Amino acid sequence: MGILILGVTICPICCDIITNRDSYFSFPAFVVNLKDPLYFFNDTSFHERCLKKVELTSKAKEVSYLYIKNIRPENRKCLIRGNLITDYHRHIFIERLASGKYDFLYQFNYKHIDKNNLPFWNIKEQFLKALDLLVASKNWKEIDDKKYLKRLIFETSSTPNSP
Amino acid sequence: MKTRTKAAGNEHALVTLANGQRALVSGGPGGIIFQEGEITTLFGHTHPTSDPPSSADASALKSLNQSKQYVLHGGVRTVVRPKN
Repeated sequence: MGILILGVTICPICCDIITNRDSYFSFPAFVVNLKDPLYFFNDTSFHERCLKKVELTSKAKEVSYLYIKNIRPENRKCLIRGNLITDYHRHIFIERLASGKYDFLYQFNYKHIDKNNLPFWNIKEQFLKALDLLVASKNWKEIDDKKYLKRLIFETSSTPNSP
Repeated sequence: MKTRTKAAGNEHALVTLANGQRALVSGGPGGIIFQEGEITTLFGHTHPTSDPPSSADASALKSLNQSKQYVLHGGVRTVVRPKN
């Protein structure tokens, strides 16, 4: 998990405590969708020896490294105009929306939007339509009633469409 | 905590250290690692993005013998309780 307490945190694979004598790996909070194959790793710590037994480990590590890289303040570049977003009140971060690379929403995984640029985004309506479909689909499930997706739709659509 | 998390992109946590002092600690974007016996209570922590509390956040409470912790994620505060 994001918070690893050695001597307390339990590895969910072997159900043993992770100690300072173990080699371990902690995944960040990088997956919102409970139906994503990588959700198992989300915000969780494991023994390295246990992770070796899990098929999706290398993919999960690869995606988690991408998440960590993309959320760095120096990488908060707006996908619409490419400017660096320094005011977090104008910042929208897009979580992992899709796991398949041929899914329209996949290209937006871990990307940033500057709210000031929303009126200039020429595929905004397409993006919102795809989010609406995702909310209605059975392929998306959150711990708390799709709150993240609904909030993303609200934040993206609440700015006027034209400058 | 929210401002620090947003500015740095790192997780933060409010804890009680083994010596009884309360502390605000910062980890990395992937989380925070505490050594054995370093903390006794985890009041709450932040997620750098909107990712809501996880099942691991709930499991941690059982191990620490706590009834709740707070998780701040993307400007939202959620109370997490131990899993049954």
